[in-house]
Amino acid sequence: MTDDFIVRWATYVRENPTKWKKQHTRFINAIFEKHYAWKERMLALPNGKEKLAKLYGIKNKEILDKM
Amino acid sequence: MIADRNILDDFVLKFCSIVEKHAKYIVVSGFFAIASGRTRGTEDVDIIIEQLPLEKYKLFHEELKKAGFSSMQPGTLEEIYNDYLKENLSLRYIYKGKFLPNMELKFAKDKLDEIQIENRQRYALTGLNVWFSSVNVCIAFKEGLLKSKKDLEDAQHIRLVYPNLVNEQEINKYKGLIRRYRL
Repeated sequence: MTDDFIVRWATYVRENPTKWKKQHTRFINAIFEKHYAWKERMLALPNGKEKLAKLYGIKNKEILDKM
Repeated sequence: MIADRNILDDFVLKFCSIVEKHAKYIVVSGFFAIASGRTRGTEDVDIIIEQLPLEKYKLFHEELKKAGFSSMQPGTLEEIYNDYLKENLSLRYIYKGKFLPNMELKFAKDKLDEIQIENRQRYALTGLNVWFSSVNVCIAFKEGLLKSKKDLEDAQHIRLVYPNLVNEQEINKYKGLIRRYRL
């Protein structure tokens, strides 16, 4: 991402307060959807749950049990 | 009128609708930039709430739990309250077993946090009924303390989308407070 992109996009947001959000929402949701799909693939691996717990520093057993 | 909401917005709105009933709060840093249109992801949302005694925190924590939030830190409520919040460390809350996004919650720890909470704002551009730190505070933190490439780009974005709210005198005042309390 270049500074030029930041200026162009921020200008678009400022000048189009009713339009930017739709595109932005698609972008943000795509990031999380990618992550959720990756998490499912990780959980399907041997010791996937333990690997995820280590990666994200999850020590709460209640959370691990729900995964 | 804002068209729709994303996964991050929904998560923050759910959490803040509960905090609102128990304490004054502000959402700070990256999420403000993202909610204002910045195109980047984040794993956590930072929230600062006013200090609560254990009994009041317990009610808040119980309501969060009932709504599907859980703390990533293990331990009893008393342990996480004393070992994290009272030690100025953050607690991470996740929603329904999804550890992203998560809410990184801290108690206000000094005068600077109290000033931020006193001067909190809502911003129509975000389309969210959420209290944020002010534009000028946010810029001051990103330019005067955090200073990573991502933070400087956030500050640049905020300056460009809220040109009428940017006040250099205010920003410099907050940068002075940051030097006094945080550096």
